[in-house]
Amino acid sequence: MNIFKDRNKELEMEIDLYLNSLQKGATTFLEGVKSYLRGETEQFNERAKLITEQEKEADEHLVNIKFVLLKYDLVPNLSADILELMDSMDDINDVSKEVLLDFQVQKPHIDPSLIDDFGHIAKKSMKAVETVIKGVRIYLTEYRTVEDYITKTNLFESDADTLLHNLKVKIFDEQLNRSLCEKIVLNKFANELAELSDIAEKIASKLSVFRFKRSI
Amino acid sequence: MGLITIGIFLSAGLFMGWSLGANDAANIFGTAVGTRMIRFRTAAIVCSVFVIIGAVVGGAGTSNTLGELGAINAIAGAFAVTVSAAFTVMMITKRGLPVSTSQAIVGAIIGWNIFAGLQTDTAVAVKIVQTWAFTPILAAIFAVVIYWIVKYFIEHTKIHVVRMDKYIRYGLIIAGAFGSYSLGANNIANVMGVFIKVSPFNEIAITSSITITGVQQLFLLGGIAIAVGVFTYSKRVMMTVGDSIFKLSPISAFIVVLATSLVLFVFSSEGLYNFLTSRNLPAFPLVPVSQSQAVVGAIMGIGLAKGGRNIDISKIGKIAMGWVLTPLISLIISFIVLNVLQNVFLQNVIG
Repeated sequence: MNIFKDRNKELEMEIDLYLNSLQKGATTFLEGVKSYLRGETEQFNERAKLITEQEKEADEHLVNIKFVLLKYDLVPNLSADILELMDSMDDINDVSKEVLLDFQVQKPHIDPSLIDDFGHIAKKSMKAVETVIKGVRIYLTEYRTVEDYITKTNLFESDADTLLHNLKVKIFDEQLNRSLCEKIVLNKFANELAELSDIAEKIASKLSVFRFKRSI
Repeated sequence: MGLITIGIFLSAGLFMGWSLGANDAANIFGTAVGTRMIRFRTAAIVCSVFVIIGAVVGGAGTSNTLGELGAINAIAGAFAVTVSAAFTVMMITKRGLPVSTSQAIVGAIIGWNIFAGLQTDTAVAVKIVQTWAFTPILAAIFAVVIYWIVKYFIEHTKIHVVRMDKYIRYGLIIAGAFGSYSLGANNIANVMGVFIKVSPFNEIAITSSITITGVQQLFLLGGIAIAVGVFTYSKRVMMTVGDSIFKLSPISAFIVVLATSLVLFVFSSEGLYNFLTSRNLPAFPLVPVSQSQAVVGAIMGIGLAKGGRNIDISKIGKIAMGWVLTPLISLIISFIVLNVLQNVFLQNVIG
């Protein structure tokens, strides 16, 4: 019967499923970018389709989290923090999906000399996202060690920024024989790939504040 | 004496009970209700049931101590003493000081002793005052110890925050029930203690082995008055406590309630008293103490355990001022009220 349902358990499960969806989304994002860079169109299209489904699945879990958390007044002293965290994490899948769909629609031509650079940025972004998701899990269970994950996320974001800068230098170098218009498009895609690490950094920064409220 | 007259005289005790329910229940469940961890209805039911059980089952010890201080032997005298204490509490509360019903009633009883020309047992008076001073200290010690235990438990287990929320809610209800029981057992003396010698109730035999004594009926009445106070007025006070006065996390609230309840319990448990004295160990005296001051002590204990930051030293000064001011004002008012009752209303205030 519904009245005997353990709402705390339900919320804990929903949060777990939501974080799993985000984790899967981040992996799909990296695999999708890699497929595009390798020119594996079929695999890439599969990833683009998959990430759309994963984003939808994550959205459903987010709605459930909000519903259970607010309707049953669970964790009232931390509910605002948890909601804010979950909401900002939604950007991870939104942006991942947006990037893959942009690749699918705009089909930018990546110069072979830049493929590795694009790949490395995507990988660092994914690492930052993965680390911050782990950080959020830790915040929910063992908050004392969350600082390690915050530091690591910031480190990955900083690496992604450095790689992005180097890539931009290469893109706008005169040796790269492309029109300015094409260079601007490449620059935009490079920014989009690095954006995920920025989102991870923002979440990490929220975590660094919220963890203080977890102490008794 | 007619039923209406008895009712009028007992009304002072019932009013005292009502105000205790309205104010002190907030100390137990205020943070839990104010922070929406527990619904008011749940808090009110648990509080009322356990306050009544505490009053009826465990209220005798502290009442006897008040009896030793001053054996009020006329119902009009008991009325005057209770009214004076209630009025003192009201007056000092308006000044924003952490007032104690226990201190007010003690002052009023001494006022009656002086009026009746009886010697106040200084040994008992000293014992009571020492207990008041010890109350916030003991609450702080309990709070520090419980804080360390809870902290260790939280930091060394990987319990999900959502599951922890559930455990804290259970903890708050259990600690609240214990707190309500202790409040009933310890503070019923302030509400009905002075009426014991003049109790109008006779023993009721339910079966051959189960009887309800007149004192128990008196305490039951006082417990019901406290419960009415909880249901009718404590919600507002709880919201104030939970929202503005001291911002405690639900876990800290649990620690404060548990520490406070333990203090009230040790100062009212006859079982513990007998257990310790039978083994020639020093026992806690059975004295009605101030729950509000125990709460302040417990909060300070948490502050100390956290490293001593944010401790408002002026609070200690205010508490100490209350130890002197409350009984003194209550004594003076009691003396005046007794005079008025005897000389203006021609009531027999001394048996």
